[in-house]
Amino acid sequence: MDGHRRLESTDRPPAVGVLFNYHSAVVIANTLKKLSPKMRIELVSSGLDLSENDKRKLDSLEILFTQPNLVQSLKLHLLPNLKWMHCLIAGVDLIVETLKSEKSISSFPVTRNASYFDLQMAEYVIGIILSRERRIADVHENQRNQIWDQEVFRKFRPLTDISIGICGFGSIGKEIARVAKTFGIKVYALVRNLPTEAEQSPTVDEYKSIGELGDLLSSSEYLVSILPCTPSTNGFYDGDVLSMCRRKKTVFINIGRGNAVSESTVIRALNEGWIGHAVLDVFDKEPLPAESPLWSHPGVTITPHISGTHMIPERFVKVALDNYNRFFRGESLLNIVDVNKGY
Amino acid sequence: MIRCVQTEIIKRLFGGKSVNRSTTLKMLSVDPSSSVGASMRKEEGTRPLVGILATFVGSPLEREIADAVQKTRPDIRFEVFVRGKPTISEKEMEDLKSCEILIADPNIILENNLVNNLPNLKWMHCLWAGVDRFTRSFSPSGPYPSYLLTRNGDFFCIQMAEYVFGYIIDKERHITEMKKLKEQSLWKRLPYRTLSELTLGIVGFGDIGKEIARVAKAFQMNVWALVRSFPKDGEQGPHVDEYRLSSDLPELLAASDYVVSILPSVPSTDGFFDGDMLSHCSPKLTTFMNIGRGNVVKDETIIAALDRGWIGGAVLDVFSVEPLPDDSPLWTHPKVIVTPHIAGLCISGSKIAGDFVQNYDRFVKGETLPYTVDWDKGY
Repeated sequence: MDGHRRLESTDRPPAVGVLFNYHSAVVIANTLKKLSPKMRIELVSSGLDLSENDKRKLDSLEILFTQPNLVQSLKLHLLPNLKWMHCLIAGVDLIVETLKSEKSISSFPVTRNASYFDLQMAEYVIGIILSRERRIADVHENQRNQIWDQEVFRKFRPLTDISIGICGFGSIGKEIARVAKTFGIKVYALVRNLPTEAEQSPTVDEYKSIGELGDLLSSSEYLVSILPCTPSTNGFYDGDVLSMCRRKKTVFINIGRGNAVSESTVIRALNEGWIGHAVLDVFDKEPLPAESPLWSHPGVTITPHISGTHMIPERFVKVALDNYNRFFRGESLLNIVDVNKGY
Repeated sequence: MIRCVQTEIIKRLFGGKSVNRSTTLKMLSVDPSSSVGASMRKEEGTRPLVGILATFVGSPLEREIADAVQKTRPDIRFEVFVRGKPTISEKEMEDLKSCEILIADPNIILENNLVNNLPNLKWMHCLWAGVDRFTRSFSPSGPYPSYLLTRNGDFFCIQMAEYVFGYIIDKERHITEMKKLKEQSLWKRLPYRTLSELTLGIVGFGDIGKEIARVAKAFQMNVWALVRSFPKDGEQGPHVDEYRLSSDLPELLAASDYVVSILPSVPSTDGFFDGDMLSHCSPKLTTFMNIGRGNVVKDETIIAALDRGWIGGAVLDVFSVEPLPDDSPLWTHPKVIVTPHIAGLCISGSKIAGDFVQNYDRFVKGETLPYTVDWDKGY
């Protein structure tokens, strides 16, 4: 397989380049060193003004651990010897874009840090649901006014009475299903290919194919989109798609990528009463520009792309380390990105 | 001959307790001229009279329960429906007193001096999980009522867990703060921790505590539980990392990022966290949550613990006096969240009806009922 090679006993292991936001890069490098003392690590920079030393480092690099937005600004032709790139983030769309635009260079496998972010994103989703269902904002309001009122909270629905539709059923989607099931929420999962009975997960009540999206939308109190950013997901929810949410006035949560739904769609869906609320963590442009009408729309909750951004160093580098060992043993790598599919 | 058969049926019904003739006759009082009456006569002996004492005027909950039971089980003689507030009329009193089974909030029973005034009552089923006001109204050694009291021990578990994790995640992931940032059109990323890096200490490890532990484990939290006695080998739950006894409370507090008290109100839990007990929370600036009963910690203790930097915050659903008095400093302390005893308030009438019906069937067969209150223990 391209990019793999066995490490001969006489070989000095090639250095691993770490290209990441500076402070985190240092933490990552130190963590890697701690867990794998024999690993050679080079902190590298991207950017416009690379010194001769920087260019030399990049030139000899065979392995790069990195993040997508820095790859964008890196000139890949400066890494002619690259044999494997590992993205320390789950969302690889910017890398895929970059690789596609420099076709001659993408002969190495790209892997990504799937699984690391799953639980914290599921936590975010359940937190949003609980906060709404248990009306925490109203509780705070009553406390501010020193009002003791039980009656107003008497009619809340237990999570066992609601359904969640999960669009994008990779490792994050599966983790959301698992946590949702912990609370007894009914789970619908949107998948490209319906699984066989043996492949079905016990945490999913019903699988729906893309053609059954309408079914899923009209059955879910909450819709969570974790769709990756690919040409086929552009505007996935645009047009009249969200009108199918009107039966339950679904709450739409987007923690995937901003390309899946336009601002105007969200606003229209809210104003038409198709969806009950929109919780958006991702946007076409981030940070969300101040002039965006989403900021002032009462039906929108904005979170600044934080559903999965917390680094627990030793866990964060686990997939990278696992793949590092596999790379030198000639074993297949985990979480390989299919550049054509885009994820 | 017929009378003997009927007495036998009734004896079986009530687990062999002696039943006096007047009770028997009362149960059999059906209009004999009704064509249904004769055939019902034999059946009536097996069908105790059920009533519900509705707690909240205007709340549809008890109506939902009554309707659901009547709809799904028309065989159950659910014939008495009385509103507990503002007052109970004389006729309604008589109706209540004729019930053999009553679904009620025991506090309303207390308030209306009905505790020892329900001569036909064999079984009272409380809608809620906590019966402490009722049980603490008796002197420690009795005498206790002759009827059974059951409570809703497991129904509320998942709702209590929803409450606990709702507030924990809201705090850790800054959900409330982010709303404020949005109002200012501010894109600002606040650093956060994940639950998987935190320790939860559960004080009071009944069914609610166990449910909270189960959910905590789904988030990969580290879980400590305070128990009366260590579980035997093989009985240790899969969701607890460390068990501790009451005497080890300081160690549990020091280890916990969040502590949840679900302790019932009994004499031995009065002031459980008072004094300087909460000083043990300072290493992790524990957030103290109380969803059990307010007797375990005074308002002043919480305020002092916050101001001394012992605890980092408090989320309180229960208080020594409820509603929380206007002048309580808890209302306005910036690190205190006051919720009006709502952690387990969510009810679906049909679910409670289903629960009651299951117990009813056990009751008429003379089987033990789950969550029968032990008068000595107080819960």
